[in-house]
Formats: sequence, C-alpha cells, structure tokens
Amino acid sequence: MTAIRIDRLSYRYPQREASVISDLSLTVQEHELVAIIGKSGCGKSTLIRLIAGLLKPKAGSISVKDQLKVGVVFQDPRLLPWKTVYENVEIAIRHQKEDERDRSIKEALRLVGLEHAAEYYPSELSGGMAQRAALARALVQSPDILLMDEPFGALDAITRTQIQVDFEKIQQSKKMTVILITHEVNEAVRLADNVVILSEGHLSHSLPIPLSHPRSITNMDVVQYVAQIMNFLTQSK
Amino acid sequence: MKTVKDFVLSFWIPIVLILLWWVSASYGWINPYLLPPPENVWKAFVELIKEGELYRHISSSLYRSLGGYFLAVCIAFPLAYLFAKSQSAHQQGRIVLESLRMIPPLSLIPLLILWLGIGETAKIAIVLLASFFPIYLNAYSGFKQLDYRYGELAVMLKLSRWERIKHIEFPGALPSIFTGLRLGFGYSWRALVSAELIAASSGLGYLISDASEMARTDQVFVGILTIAVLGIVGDILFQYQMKKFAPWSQS
Repeated sequence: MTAIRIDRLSYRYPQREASVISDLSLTVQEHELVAIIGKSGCGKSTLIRLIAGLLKPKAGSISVKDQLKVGVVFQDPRLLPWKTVYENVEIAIRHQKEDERDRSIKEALRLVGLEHAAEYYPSELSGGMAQRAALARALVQSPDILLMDEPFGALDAITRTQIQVDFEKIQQSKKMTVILITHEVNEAVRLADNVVILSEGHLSHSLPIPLSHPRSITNMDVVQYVAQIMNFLTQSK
Repeated sequence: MKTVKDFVLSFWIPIVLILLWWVSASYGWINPYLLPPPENVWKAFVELIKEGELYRHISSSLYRSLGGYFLAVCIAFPLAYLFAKSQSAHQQGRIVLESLRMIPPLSLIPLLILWLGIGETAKIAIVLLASFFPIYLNAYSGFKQLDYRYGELAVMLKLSRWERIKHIEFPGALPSIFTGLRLGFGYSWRALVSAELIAASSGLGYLISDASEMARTDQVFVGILTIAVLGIVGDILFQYQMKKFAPWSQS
C-alpha cells in the first residue's frame, strides 16, 4: 500500500530564479524506510518541508494516505527551553487523558534511553540527548509516518552511531513509514529499505537495500552498497 | 565562602561611602546643613517611623506607583502582542506610539493636572506614561524575535492559537518581558517621585519637597534613602521572580 505519493513536484523559493525541486516523483510504501541522500543544497530539506506541509508546492502534488499520523524530527532538536524533557514530549500528546499520557511519555523516553532525564531542561542535555528527546516527542504520537530531516547530522561520530543503532531497533519493532534525509551514506545503508539520490532537485537514482536488520557497517554487503551509492553521488551533479 | 565573597563584593563600596560620610560629618569637613551626620538621619528616620509619617508617605507612593504600573502592564501586553503579530496593526499605530515615546512624561504634568485635576489620577497617569514604553517595547521585541522554527514546530504539533501563546509565544518572550517589567518599575518609581515633588500632599516626593522647605536636610536624606532602598527591594524581587518563572533565561 502506498503511504506517500509525490507526483511531478516542483518548488522555487520566492525571489530565486532556479527551482530547488524540479519535476520530482516518488512513491513511498507503507512500513518502508526511504533514505534521501544528496549533496548540500540539492533540495533534501526543502523536500521534507514540502511533505510536512510547511511549504506549498509551486507545481505537482503530494498525497499522504488518509488517516495516517505524521511526526517530524527536525535537523535541530527544536526543544522548548522552558519545558523539561518530559513536558517537551508531553506537548505532542497534550489532549490525551493524564494517566494514558504519562504512560505514553515514559514509554517513549524509555525507547530512546532518556527515562533518567525526564526532569532535565534542554540546556542540561548533550547534543545526542537533545536529539533523542526530539525523537521521543515524535514517537510518542505513534506516527504512521515519520519525517526525519538529517536528525543525527550535528552529532559526533560515536553518538551518531549509537543513536542509529537504537533507531534501527525502534524501526524494526514499530515498522513506521519513514523518510530519512541524510548526507551520511553509511547511515542511509544501515537504516533504509530504499535509498534515493537527489541531485539538483531531481531524483537521479533509486537503490533498494534488501539486507536484513540489524546491519553492521563493517558487513561486506553493506560496504558494497555504500561504495555503490558513493559512486552514484560522485557521478551526480 | 562564596557567600562571604559575594557580600564583600556587593557591599564594600556602599560601606566605604557611609564611612566617608560619617567621618566627614564628624570632623565637620562639610556643613551639616548640606550633609547631615548619619546619626541625625537615623534619628529623623526613627522619628518619622514613630509618627507614622514615613509609612503614610510610602503607602501613598506605592499606591500610585503600583496602580499606574498595573495599568501600563494591562495596556502594554495586548498591544505588544497585537503589533508583533499584525504588520498592518503595527503600521497603523506606530507613528502615534513613537510620538508619545519621545515626549518626557514629566513635561505632560501641567496638561495632566489641567485635564485630570491634582488628585491621584494625574499622578497615576504619569506613572502609566513613564512605565508603559519599557514594558511595551521589551514585550514587543520578545514576541517579535521568537525563533521562527518554533512556529514550524507549532504547525507540526497542531497547536491552536491559544496553545501557541501558552506553550511557545509567552514563555519564549518571558525573559524579554521581565526585562521590560523591571525597567518599567524603575521608570515608574522615578517619574512618580518627580510628580510628587510638584503636585502632592503625601508621598515620598512630597516628603522630600516639604522637608527641604523646612530646612530639614536630615528628613530629605530619609526620603532619598527610602526611595533608593524601596527601588532596590523591588528590583531584587523582579530578579527573584525571573529566576523562579524563567529559569531557562539564566542559562
């Protein structure tokens, strides 16, 4: 079943002549994790903002299957500094009943390994912890679709690897439909069912990764996919 | 240890000044009419307390100050929010507000007395005019400069208008709002005392003016020091409230 269908999408920022996204079509199936990878400025973040509804397309269409709940994890954690980690997660499900809400928040914090930091303020968190809190805020909504815009891009290599491993486990248990924007080829191959390469607003290649999870970046099959994608990327504009 | 160091750092200059004052008065270096000795000021202070006069003047000043200040807050907050959120409303109201901002409130005293009489209303109006702009401008910039990324977050979390104000806009602007409230309090206090020097029969400004006419410099000092102490106490209370309600602004 198709979860997201993007049809001949184009977008141009006001006062810019060139389109950032140009005639792009993409289909994402339910429970599929699609990684979109490309060089800086190729339109990755614009695409996710369009899918999230934060920007309106200039041409083409984006349709998301009815009744599916959408969660977003931004490039920066975007935690509210005046709320604790618990409250930052709580705001996403503020309309739920109190006891049900409390259970969901604790479960989301446990999933991302932050149950000990529920009462911390964002200023007391490391970069990795803040990004985990942002992930918990998205997960607590039980989203059917999760849009992730380079969520681990600003983290150091060790933290990034750890959080990738944890997210891989979460995805295997929850089976959400995920669009992951990244510029990390290793991350894309570790997590995705399908890697899409974006170049100058076009979709230049699409590569399914039919490997089982959990994946290790030292596994030879994974290394081969990484090399193949690197090759596509160096060929693309 | 840190507390002792903080105490010394905060108080050594006032203590040295008081000592200098005391020494110069004791040795008669300065005419006691111009600079009465600290013990005379203390006696005048005790006398005014015993007579209940100081309490009467303080309560008059506080009533006017807090009344005008409260009205300023009630007008400044909604206006700041409206102007920060609506470009068109801001454009329409800007010239009037900017013109008013340039007029020193004290220069309006004759007009205010003419329009509102010499009663409490005129003095409250002066406090309102003096404290309005720091409160309004800081609240406006707090609402205006809120990170646009929180706006995107609000869209993704499907926050209603009221929820946006409650969870994002108001707390986000709170450090700036507190700065405005603190500045506004200082401005209101200063303007009030000046207004009382001109047209009043009670209040700390009146106490200073009346004592000066009676050549009671010691009482003038009591009035001035009371104003300073109450101003500092108010400022400390604001800082305390800011730490309590906006702890993130300290980090």
